[in-house]
Amino acid sequence: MELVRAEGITKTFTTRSGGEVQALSPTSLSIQEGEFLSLIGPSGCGKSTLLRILSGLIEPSGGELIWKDGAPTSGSDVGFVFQEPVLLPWLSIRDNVRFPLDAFGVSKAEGNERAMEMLKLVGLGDFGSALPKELSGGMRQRAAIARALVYRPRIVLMDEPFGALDLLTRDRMNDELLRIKQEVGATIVFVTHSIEEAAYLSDRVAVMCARPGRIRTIHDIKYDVERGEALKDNPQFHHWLSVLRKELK
Amino acid sequence: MLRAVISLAVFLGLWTLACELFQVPSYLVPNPLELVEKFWFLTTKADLFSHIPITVTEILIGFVIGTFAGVFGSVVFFRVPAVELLLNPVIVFIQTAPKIAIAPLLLLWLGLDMTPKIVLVAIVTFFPVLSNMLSALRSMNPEFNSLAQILCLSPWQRLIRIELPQSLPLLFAGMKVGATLAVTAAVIGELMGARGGLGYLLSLGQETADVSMVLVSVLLLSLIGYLLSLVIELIEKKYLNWHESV
Repeated sequence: MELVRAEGITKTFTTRSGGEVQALSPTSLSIQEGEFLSLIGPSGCGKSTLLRILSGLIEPSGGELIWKDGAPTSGSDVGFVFQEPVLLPWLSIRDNVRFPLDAFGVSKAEGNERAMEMLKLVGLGDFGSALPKELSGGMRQRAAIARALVYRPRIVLMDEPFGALDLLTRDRMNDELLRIKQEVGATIVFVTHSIEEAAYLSDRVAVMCARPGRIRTIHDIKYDVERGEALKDNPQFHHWLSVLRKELK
Repeated sequence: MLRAVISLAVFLGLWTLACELFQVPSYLVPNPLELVEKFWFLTTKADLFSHIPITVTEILIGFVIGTFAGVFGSVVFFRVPAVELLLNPVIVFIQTAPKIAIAPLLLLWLGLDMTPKIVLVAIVTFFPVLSNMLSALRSMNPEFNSLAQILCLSPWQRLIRIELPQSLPLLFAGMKVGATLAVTAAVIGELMGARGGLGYLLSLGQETADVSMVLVSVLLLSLIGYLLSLVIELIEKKYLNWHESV
């Protein structure tokens, strides 16, 4: 089932000197319900721009988004995970995760319950009362993911969520994300510039290229084996790595 | 706290010693013991405790009004750029002018009671709070705005849930600056014309060449200023434990 379709989306930015830069040339993309779609490409290919247009953070210069059940009207339709955790430093981890629910008028008791449930899911069950500054980078990003999932949005958009983490933590977070996704079954659009991350996590990978920013190809990533640590030694995985690498050259 | 007591004791000791050693006449620099005597005299015979509340009230009321006005003003400036465009030149002008200089005007308009002092205290508190709050609101983390936009927060939710809490560290810094200015402003106001208060005692001491009375007043004023900043720091510790600097 198609959740949302981008139809000829373009974005042109005006530079300070008055010139125009085309960040995204007409781009069409269909996002299926429940899929994990990665946008991958070099910097300047418009992947973050496309993501932010999907989220409603920026308006496209042309084209339109067609949603299955109509365009999102409230904040609870879209979840967004930024490159930085963007947690509110004065709130405890639990209150940060409850933050969207508070804004949507969910009662505090129910909000606490749902926040703690979500924190347990991302492995932070014991850290609800900690302040963001007391947590490591990876834990903070997990809390940010919990905050984006806690209100069960129709779509979760992630903008290089693990880009600021060290490699070991990043690997662990990828495994966590696979598990979380299986448990919640959310639709996820994931921006990354890591080929491995894209091949490891995605049902589909859209390869983008720059000047002007556009989608070059879309691959269906299928494996005969379960995704997990063992996949990384699987020839199929390495096949996809080399396909994607060649295309990004 | 202990360190403060020790350094105070050492200071008082040296003072007494110096007075004895150099035989300073007590009408120029009284030693601490004489000050205590004076304090006792003022308390029992001259109703010192009716003067302290006057000054403290002026400082507290003026400070609270000035702080709230500063916060309110900064939010209006931040949210309604037209108001800022209109008022900013005036504000900058007033901000650079020595605000103490308007004390005579306030006294002429508002009389010799507490009102002109409260107004003066409020004015000197208002500006540091306003400018600190404005720079706090303007230096908002842009991703917080994105988050607010994603969650479709109303302007009011944004203000209460994100902008004001995020501004607290700079607000407290502004309040600390305001607190020292507030004590000065109250004293200046009282020096220029009052029927009571520690500033009034100061000028009375000056007119009667009573150095001990002047010193007692000065010490009490320092104590008030110190306590005020202590209270602000306590509140800060309680509400700012999330901040990196704590």
